Amino acid sequence: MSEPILKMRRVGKTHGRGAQRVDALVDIDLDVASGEFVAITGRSGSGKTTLLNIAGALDEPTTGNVWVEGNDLGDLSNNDLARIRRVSVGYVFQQFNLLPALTGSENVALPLELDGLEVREARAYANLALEEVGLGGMGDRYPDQLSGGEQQRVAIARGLVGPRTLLLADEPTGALDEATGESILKLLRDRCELGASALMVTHEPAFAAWADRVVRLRDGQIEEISVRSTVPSSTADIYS
Amino acid sequence: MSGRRSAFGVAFKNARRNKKRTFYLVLLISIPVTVAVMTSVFVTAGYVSPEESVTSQFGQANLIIEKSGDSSELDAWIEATVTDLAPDAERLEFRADYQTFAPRTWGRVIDVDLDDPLTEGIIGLVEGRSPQTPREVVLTEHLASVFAVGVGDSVELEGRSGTVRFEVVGLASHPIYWEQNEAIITPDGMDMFRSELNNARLLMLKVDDDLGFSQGYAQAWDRARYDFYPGDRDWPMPPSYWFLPDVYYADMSDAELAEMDRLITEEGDDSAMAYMESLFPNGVDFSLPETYAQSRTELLMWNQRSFTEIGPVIGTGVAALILAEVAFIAGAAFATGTRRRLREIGLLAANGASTKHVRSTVVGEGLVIGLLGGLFGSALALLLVVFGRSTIQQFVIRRIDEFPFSLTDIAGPILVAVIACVVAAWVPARTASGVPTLTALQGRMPVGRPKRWIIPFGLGVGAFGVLLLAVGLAGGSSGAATVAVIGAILMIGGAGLLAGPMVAWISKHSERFPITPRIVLRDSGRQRGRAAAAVAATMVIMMAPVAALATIEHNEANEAILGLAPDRSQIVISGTNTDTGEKMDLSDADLARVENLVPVASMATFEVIDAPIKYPAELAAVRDPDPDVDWGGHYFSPWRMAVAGDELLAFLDDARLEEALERDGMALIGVEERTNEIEIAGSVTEIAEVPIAVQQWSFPRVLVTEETAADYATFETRPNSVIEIEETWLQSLNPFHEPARPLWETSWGTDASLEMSGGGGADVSSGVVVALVTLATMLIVLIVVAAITALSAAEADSDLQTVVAVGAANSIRRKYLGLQSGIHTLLGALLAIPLTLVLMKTVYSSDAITGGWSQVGNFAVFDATVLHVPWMGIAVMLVVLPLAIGLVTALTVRSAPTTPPHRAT
Repeated sequence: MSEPILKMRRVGKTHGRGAQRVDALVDIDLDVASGEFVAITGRSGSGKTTLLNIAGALDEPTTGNVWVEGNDLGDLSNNDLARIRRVSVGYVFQQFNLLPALTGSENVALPLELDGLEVREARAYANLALEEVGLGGMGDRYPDQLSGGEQQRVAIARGLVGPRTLLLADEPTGALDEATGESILKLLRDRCELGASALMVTHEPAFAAWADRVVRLRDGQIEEISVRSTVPSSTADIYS
Repeated sequence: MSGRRSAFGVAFKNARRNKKRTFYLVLLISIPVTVAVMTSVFVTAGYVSPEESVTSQFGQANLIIEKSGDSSELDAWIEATVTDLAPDAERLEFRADYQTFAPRTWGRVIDVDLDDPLTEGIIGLVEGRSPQTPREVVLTEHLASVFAVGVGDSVELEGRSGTVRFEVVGLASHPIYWEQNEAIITPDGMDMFRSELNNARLLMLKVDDDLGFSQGYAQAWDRARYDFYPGDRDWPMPPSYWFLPDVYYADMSDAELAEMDRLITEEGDDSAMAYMESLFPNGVDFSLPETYAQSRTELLMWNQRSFTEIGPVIGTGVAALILAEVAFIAGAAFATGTRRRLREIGLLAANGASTKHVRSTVVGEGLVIGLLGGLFGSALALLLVVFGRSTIQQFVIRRIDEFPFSLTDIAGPILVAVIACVVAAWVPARTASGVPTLTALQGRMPVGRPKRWIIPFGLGVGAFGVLLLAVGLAGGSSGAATVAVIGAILMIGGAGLLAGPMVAWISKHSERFPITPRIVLRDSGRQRGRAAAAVAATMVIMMAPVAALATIEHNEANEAILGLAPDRSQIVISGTNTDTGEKMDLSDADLARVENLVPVASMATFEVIDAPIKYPAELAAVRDPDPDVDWGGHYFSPWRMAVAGDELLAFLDDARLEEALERDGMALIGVEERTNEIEIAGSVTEIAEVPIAVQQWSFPRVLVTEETAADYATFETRPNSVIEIEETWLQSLNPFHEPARPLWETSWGTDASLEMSGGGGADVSSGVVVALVTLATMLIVLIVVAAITALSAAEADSDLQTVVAVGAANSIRRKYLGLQSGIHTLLGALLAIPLTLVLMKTVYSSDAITGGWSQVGNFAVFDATVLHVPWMGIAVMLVVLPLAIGLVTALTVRSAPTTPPHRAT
C-alpha cells in the first residue's frame, strides 16, 4: 500500500491552561490516501478548522505527529514548512483571505510566484484556474470589485492552482449558491481522480456526501467515520 | 451640539480604550513639542535684540570714549572736537587694552570706574569691591572661571613689560553677555598696559542728533588725521600708491619708496604690488592713529539691517518645521487608525450618526492626543531647562538668570501640536465619513484616484513659496524674514502634496515588479494617505542632509579657489615666535617638542625659498572682474616655493608630482591636472599642475628640484615642516576634535610659541561630514520609519499572514517592511532633493545671505550665487540611504508568525 498523502497520529491540540484549558483535538489518527476525498463534519467548536490548520502546516499540534507526503512536519524548518504550503498544500480559507492589493489573477498566482515561477507563466496558470472556477476573464478585478461568491471562487482557484497534492478546504461552498457549490465540489472530486487528495470541512451533509469518507468530529475527537461506496455525479443523486 | 459632545465623548473613550496607541501617539507628538520649546529657549537665550545690544554698550552714558595707546595730542583733539559737537553729552571715558588671556580667550583690560553710575547696563559688580590700587583687579565671572580664581586669589596678566600679578578683589558681570572676558583695573594700573601698537580711539554716542554728530566727527577727522601721522612722509599718500595701505607707506624707507616708484613707472602696478608683498610678508606690527565714532542710531540701523532680528523668526520656523513633520507622522497614524476603525464608523453611521458626528469622533481623538502631547512635551522641556540650565548656558550668548520661557514659547508649540493633530485627524476623518455605510460595515475603504488638481496645486504652492522666499530674503528685516520662513514652509507643503500622486503613480505601474515589492507598492497605493504622509515626513528629514551637502559643496568650491583643502590633521609649522614678537626659524628642538606633544604619523622638513611668485590668471581676474557679478574683494595669498626633497616627496606620496618634477624640474600643487602658468621673480613659465590637498595658505605651492632651486640661490631660504597628526577613527569622526590642540595650548605664552596653520576643530573633512550627515539622517529617518512601521504593521500583518499561509517564508514580513521603509525613503529623497536644491539656489541668489558676490582665488573665480550640486551625496542619498534603511528595518523587525490568517478584506 502506498504512503498516504496526509498521515496524522495521536494528534492533540490544547489551547490555554488550567481552568482556561480547552482540548481542541484529542488523539486524532487520520490517513488521507492519494486520490481520496475526505469530508470533516461536526458541530461548531468540534475542532474541524483546527484539524485543517494542523494538516496545512499553519498550526502545530500539542501532541502527536503529522506527515504530509511522507514529511514529518514536526521535523521541518520554517522554510521547509513554507515550501510545503506553497507547493504541496492548497488551502481554501473560510474567510477567503484574498489580498486586497492584488487582482484576482495575482491572488491566484501568489503561491506560484512565491515559488519562483515567472510572472507571466504564473499568471497563465492562474487564469486557467480561474476559468475552472467559472471566473474566466475576471482576473483583472480587485477583491473589492468582486461579490462574496466570486471572492470565494478566487480563493478556491488559489487553492487549486499548480500541482498540489493535498487540497484543504474550509467550508469552500459557504458563500456559493447550490449550482456553483456543486461545480466546485466536482472540481475537487476531479482533482482527486487525477491523484490529489482533498480534506474538506463542511456543515452541509449534502456536500459531505461528495466525499469518499466522512469524518465526524465531536469535542475534538473522531466520533465516526463513514465510507461511501458510490460517488455522486450531482447533489441531486445523493438525495435520490 | 450635544451630538458633537457625545462624539467627543466617544473620542475620549477611544483614546482611553486604546491606551497603548494613545500613549505612543502622545509620545510621538510630545517629543517635537519638547524640541520646539527648547528651540525657543535656545533662540530666546541666543538672541539679543539690536536695542538691547546697543544699550548694553552705552550703559547710562550718552558718549563713551574708549582709548587704546597713548597720544595726548590726539586726546586733546578729540576733547576739542567733542566739546564743539556735543558739549552737553554725559561721558564715560576709559582706556582699553585688547588681550588674549588664554588660548582662544579674548577680551580686554579696561580702567572703567565701576562706581560710576554711567556704567550701569555695561558692567556691574556682583561680588567684592572695585579696584582701588594699581595691583587690584575685578574679573568678569566668565574670565574668573577661565582662570579658575575667585575673590582673594591672584592672577597674572600680560602687561607692556611682561606678566603682572594682580589680586582679584571682585567679580563683575555683563547684564546680557555672560561670556564677556574683561579685567577691570585702576587708571594707574592701566599704565602698565598701554600699548603703542594699537593707537586708536572709539567714540560711541547716543546724543540727540547722533547721526549729525558722527558725520561731523568723521569729516573733522578726515581733515585732521594727517596731522597725527608720522611727519617724515607726505600725507595724504600720492595717488599712484593706490594699492598701498597707509600703514605700509608710513613704514617704508625712502629707498624702498624710490624702488616702488621705479617699478610703477617701468614695470607697472603688478610688479609694484608684488614688491609690496615681498616687503611685508607678515604685515606690520604697529598702527596709525585712528579714531572713529559709532552712533547709537547707526548701530541700531546696522543691527536691524544685518538680520540679527530674524533669530526668533528662524526659531519659530524650525519649530514649525518640526511640527509639520509631526503633522505628517500623526497624519499617517490617524489614517491607519481610521482605516482600522472603519467598521466601527460604519456601525455609528448605521445607528444614525451623521457625517459630522463620525468626523467629530476622529477629530476629537486628534484634539485629545494633540493636547496631551503638547502638555507632556512642554512639561518635559521645563524639566530639561530646570535641570540642564548650566549646560544650556554654554551654548547661548545671553545670561540665563531667570526662567527663560515666555508664555508664547510654551503656548505656541502646544497650539501648533493641537492644530497639527486636528488637521492630521481631520483628513482621514473626512475620507472615512464619506465612505458608504455598507462599505464601511464591511471594513472596506474604497480606493479613489488622486484628485487631478493636486499636482498643479502642489506645484503652484511650491512656486509661490519660492517667490515668497526670494522676496523675504531680499528684504533683510525681521518682517521679511517671516515672509521667507513662510515661503520655505509653503515650498515644503507644496512638495508634500506631490507625495500622494507620486505614490499612486508608482503603485499603478507596479505590474512588472516581483511579488513582494508589488504588494508593498500596491498597499502604499491603497493606503495612499498613510504612505504619502510617510513619504512627506521622510522628505522633510531628507532636506537637512541635502542642504548640508549643498552647503559643503558650495564651501568646498569656494575653498578650492585657493587649493584643495587637506585633512585637519595636516599642520604646517613655519617657525616660532618669541614673547616679544620676534620670529625665529624652525629648529630641530622645536620639532622634537612637537613630536613629544602630538602623535606624529608622518613628518617632512623642507626648505622654503622666498622668491616672489605670482599667478597671472589670478591677476587678470582681479584686474578685469566679470561686470555681471558683484565684486566680493580679493586677497593675494603670497605663493611660496620649496625644494622637493625626499622627505617632502615621501610625505606627499604622489607619482604625478614626482613625474612632473623629474620632467620639468618644478611642479605646481593645485586643484587639477593641467598645465598652468606662473611668474617667478618676474619671469613667466609654464608649469605642470598636480591636484594635492595641502594647507591652502601656508604650504608652498611651487615645488622645485634641487637643481632648479640653484637658479634661485639669491633668495633667502628657511626651514618649514609639515606633519600629519595621527587620529583614531573615533577622533576623525568627532567634529570637535582638534588634533593640534596640544601644540597651541602648550606652546602658547612660551618664549617659542609655534607658528603654525591647520589642526583646527572645524576642519573635519567633507567625507567625514557626509558620513556623519548620512548617519544622522539615517538615524532620524529610522525613528520616523519605526514610528510609521509600528503604526502600519498591524494593518499589513493580516495580509502578511495570508501570504505566509499560502507558502511565503516567515521572513516575508521583514522583506515587506524593509522594502516599504526603503521605498518611502527613496520617494522622500526624490522629493527632497529638487525641493532643497531650489531652496538653496534661492538662498544663494539672495544678496542678504551670500552677498551675491564673486571671489577671485589662486586657481579659479568663485561665484557665490551659483549652486554647486552635490552629486556624490545625492547618489548616496538615493542609493545607499534607502538600501541601508530598508536593510536595518528588515533586520530589526520580527518575522511573521505562521498562524491561520484572519479575514483580510
